[in-house]
Amino acid sequence: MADQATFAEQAMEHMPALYAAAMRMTRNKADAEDLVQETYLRAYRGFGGFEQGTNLKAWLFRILTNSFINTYRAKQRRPQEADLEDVEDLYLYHRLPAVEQATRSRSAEADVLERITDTEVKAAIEDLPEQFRLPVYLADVEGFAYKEIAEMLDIPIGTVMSRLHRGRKGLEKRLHDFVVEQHLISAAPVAGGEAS
Amino acid sequence: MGGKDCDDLLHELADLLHGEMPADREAILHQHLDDCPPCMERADFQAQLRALVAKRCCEDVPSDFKARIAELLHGSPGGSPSQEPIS
Repeated sequence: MADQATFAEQAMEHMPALYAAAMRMTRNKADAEDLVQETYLRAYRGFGGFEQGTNLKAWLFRILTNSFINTYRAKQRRPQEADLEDVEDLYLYHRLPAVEQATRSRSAEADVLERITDTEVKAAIEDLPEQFRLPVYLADVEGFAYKEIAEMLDIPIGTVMSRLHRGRKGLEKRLHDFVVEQHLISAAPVAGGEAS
Repeated sequence: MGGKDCDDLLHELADLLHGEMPADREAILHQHLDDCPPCMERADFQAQLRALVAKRCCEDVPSDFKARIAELLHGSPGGSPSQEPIS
């Protein structure tokens, strides 16, 4: 059984990741702090049941996710099944840059990507309805395996995959909107793409 | 973009980049990437996009908050964290 002094030492290392995830989940600093605090308290109390040598970060994220779903979501009273417009695969790529294919270059694409700011990426994630936002965040920001995400969210892996598929495209669409707003590219669709 | 192989790749690319494809399917998709420069370019772009999303999501943890949690976990000699109300 793991002791609690060990817990404090090991668990604090994961604070930046837990806090960033809590910010995206709750969308505000005060609730994010409450959520992370609640996570640490629950983890501290339950640390005896944590098996040393297994993935502490995944275990903490599971507690974070459960706490969010049980506490914060309950009080938000938002409709949970908000939908997300379905768009085609590689939505952003097909619109970058909006110039002739012949002049398309890797450096131009990389340049557009590099100019997407932290604020825009965070806003794009936060704009996703929750059932898409959590899997996308856990997979693409934190790099958890689909199986781990299925366990954290207590949903079947097939559901994780379908939400990721749709959520990732939704994220690209939002990022595309920011890129257009910044005038990095024009809104005109390229050949083969659909008008947005 | 042409052909069923390209369509399949586009549909499965995100899962491939996440390392979630079964080995046999992964080998087939990698073979297609080697054979199809446009798909390779798409895959490169999606990989860059994924890296960007991860990189742009950091937060600075407020130092007072971090200190509060550290104190909560270390601070109490009884071996149990203080139960102050969540503020």
